[in-house]
Amino acid sequence: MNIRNATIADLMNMQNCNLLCLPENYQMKYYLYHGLSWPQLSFLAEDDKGHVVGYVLAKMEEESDEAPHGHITSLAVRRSHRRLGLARTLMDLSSKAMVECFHAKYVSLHVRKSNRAALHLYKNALNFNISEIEPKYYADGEDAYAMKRNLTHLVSESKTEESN
Amino acid sequence: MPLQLPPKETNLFKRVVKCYEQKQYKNGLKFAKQILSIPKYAEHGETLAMKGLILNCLGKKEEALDLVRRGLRNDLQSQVCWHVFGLLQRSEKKYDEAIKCYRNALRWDKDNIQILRDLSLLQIQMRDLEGYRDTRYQLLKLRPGQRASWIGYSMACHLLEDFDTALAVLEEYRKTQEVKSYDYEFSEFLLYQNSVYREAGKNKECIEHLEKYEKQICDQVSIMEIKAMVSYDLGLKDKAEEYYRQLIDRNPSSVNYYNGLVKVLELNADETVTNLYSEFIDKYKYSHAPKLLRLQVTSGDTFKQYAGDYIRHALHRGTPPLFLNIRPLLKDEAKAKILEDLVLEYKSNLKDHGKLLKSDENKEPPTTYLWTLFFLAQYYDYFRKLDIAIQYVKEVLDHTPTLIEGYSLEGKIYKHAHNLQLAAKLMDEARSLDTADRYINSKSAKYQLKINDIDKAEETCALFTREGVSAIENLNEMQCMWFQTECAASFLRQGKIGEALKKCHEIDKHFTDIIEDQFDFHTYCMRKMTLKAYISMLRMEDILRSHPFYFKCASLAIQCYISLHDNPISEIEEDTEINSDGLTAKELKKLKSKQRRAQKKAEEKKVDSKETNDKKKVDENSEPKIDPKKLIQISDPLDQAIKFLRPLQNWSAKRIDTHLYAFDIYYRKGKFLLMLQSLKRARNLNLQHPQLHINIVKFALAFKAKTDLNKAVSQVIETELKVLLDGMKLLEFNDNFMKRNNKSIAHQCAGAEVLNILNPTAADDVLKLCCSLSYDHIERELPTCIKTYENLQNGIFGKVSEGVIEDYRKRCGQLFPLATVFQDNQSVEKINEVVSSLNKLSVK
Repeated sequence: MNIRNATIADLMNMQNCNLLCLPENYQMKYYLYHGLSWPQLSFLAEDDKGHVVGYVLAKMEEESDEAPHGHITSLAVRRSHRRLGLARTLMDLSSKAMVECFHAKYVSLHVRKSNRAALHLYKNALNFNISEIEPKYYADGEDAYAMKRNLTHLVSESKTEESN
Repeated sequence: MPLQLPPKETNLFKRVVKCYEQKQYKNGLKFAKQILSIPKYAEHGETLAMKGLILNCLGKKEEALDLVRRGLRNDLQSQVCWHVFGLLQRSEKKYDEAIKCYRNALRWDKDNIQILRDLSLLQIQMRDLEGYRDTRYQLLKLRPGQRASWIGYSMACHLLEDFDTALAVLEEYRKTQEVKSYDYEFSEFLLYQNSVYREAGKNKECIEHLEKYEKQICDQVSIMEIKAMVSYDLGLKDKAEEYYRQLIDRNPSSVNYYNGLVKVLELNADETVTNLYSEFIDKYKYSHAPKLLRLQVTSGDTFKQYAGDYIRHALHRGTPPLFLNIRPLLKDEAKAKILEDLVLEYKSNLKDHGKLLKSDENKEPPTTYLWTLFFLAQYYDYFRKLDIAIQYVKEVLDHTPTLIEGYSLEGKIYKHAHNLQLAAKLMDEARSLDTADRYINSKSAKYQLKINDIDKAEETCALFTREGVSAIENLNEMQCMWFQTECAASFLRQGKIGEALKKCHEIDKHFTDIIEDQFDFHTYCMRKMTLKAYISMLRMEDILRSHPFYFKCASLAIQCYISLHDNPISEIEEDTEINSDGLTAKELKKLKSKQRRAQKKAEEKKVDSKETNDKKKVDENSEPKIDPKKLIQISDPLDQAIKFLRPLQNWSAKRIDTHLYAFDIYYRKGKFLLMLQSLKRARNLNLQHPQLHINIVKFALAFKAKTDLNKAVSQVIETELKVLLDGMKLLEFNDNFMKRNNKSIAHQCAGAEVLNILNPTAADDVLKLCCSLSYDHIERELPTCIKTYENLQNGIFGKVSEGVIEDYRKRCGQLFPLATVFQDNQSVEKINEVVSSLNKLSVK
């Protein structure tokens, strides 16, 4: 089990993991767009054979009128590799990079209203809060919870690291 | 004769160009019309060209090309016309042609920035690195005030490994940048500049550069990684150690960092490495990486102690992937035994005392026992002791009948046991217990493809694909290669070559599209300054077809084409082949004429609604659909196979299968030198490979039989053949091969196959060799036994009596009682009973 920053060479395997695990899929060009715009933000977990068993695909939101914030485009861990804390580790690594490289103040994501497991992960393990409901967000018409996690505590951590 | 437009029309023309640039196509056409409606200027080349360009953007490709050609003919010295033609060629992906057009355009306007830029994009896309550098140099001379000029030129030099120039230019650029407190783009620039120092081997400059500018670099991880690696290369071990420790602190789950640290510390004694890991395990309690690494470097009692700690913790907590994490250790026989003993001990302790260790204070929750059984099932499955594995997994399901992992594991075990029907049923059972999880859905679909139930697989996938579109279509649109490769394999197994090839071509197209995807990023990355990532993209794209999915796709395609060559499909078979709906010939004829009428109607409708179509946006997905029929109506299947072979030879040369496929193709083409080349390449990878052995003998025999080879070629082959055969005669070579590999059933069967070729009268010996089942760990050889059983029936081992085949089947049936292929009808019925009883249990 190895967890590391995702490189351009990893994108095809991340796409494969995404297609195996989630109904929300993207063409390769979108993965390239992430890897070439925010290279520091996406991470993956791979097994001893080099298969991607989990990943986080992340970006920065570009709206200039708001505070800079990160956004989780996609996060998945194969069912066979659950209960290893992979999602948490991937998220934390990504969030730290968002703060350091892009001065993100918070990170946001969308989750299906019915996805109790994910909701529990984000709320309890990762300290996300529900900020609003976005009706019919998903292609199949399901509502989404828009969730946010404040990252200002990571900013102060970085600052102390730098001064050390 | 080129016409000069008067001022009024010149202004109109400028507006046409502006409208094009701003995508206001309707207005652009309007202004163009105003020029062209004046009789004197009706044939104005540049206006015609611009009109064509706009129409191309609206999807009217044929009309566009026509107009642009016309415009060009009227004004061959117009850089506008050539430029526009180039843009058209580019939009049709005819990049070589486009480059020619741009070059022509530059003849009439050599300093045209726009054309130079467009040319540079094509050059880097086509990897014309020299051309790219020349163009970028020109752009730098013309526009020294633009940052892209400097970056572009230095990157071009970098790619050509002219590091000195690249670094000089980058440094000049850096000097012009003002230092801000936070500037991500500049940070990326610095990292890129630094990476060029590194690639140039200038480690000292690299570290100095980093130390000088690190305050302006945001990416802390990259800074630490570079420092760690370069310090090590410079022999600054203390510094390197410091940086690796910092990196581990940042990410205690990175195996790379631990390996880096161990390398730096030059620890050779396993004990010191163990202590190092122990230190990190105490510090980072939640990370698995140091724990698993420690298990790799320990052995004996120490291993037992640490393994026990790790496993008990995982069992207590309930960690389904425990076995998967442990799996790499099983290659070591001693460790495998220790692990087996440990977990069996835990099992009996739990059963008898409810505790993992007798000395434990508290009793374990019931789930601990469950996961212990689960681990054991996976363990025995790994070693193919499938009867034991089945027992354990059944206990798991008895304990917790709703455990999805139980069904999926049972399915996997039956797959290994080669009862694919039951495996698929079980996997679908697992799927039905969590209809919100796509992963288990994908597994179920995969197993359905393994039993060639493509319709069911599509139905399963459709539960998660986009509504309103067929699952097959959506999976293709989303580049779902795992599905497409499995589907192609299934079609091939069923002999549906056309359908299989269609899938292979679809997958190949994904790779073409991904290469195409690069195009927009040449300008984009320059803008965003994510140059390091950009370079890694170029390098990834350079070897894109080295990806395992492409390898799989090409293997299947080659097998299809070889099959087409060996068994050309006749007209009748063609109709039967496409006819997957089980229609009779008469019904099919009826259906076809019905389809023809419907198609005619649709085309008429199309003509009527041409107006509405014109107003629609260009549909990027209006690609011509691949016709499976056309794919098999070819006269040169082997040449088609070679198209798929080339990327394998370029990017997967380390996989022996590449060269084995090459041999299969060239053997059929009678190309001796190419056959020889493939044999040599395979031999360099694995001297003892069974298929290689067979190929060498086939080659030798074919060469012997070939009487009209060029003398020089013959001599070369004679010499090389001696080397391939280790100077031996064929029978001796085969005997020697079998002696050297007498413990391997696959090698013995290969030897038998060769013996049958060399000496068909030695039937008894052949059968003795291939029908033997007395090998250590025969339980792991089910695939080989199945292949042998097939080969006994298809003549590979000569003419074999029914009695011998039946005897082999019976003996295999005893060794592999769960494999349906060896069972007689009675047993198959029994299995089907189990399958149908599962139907009744299904929770939907």
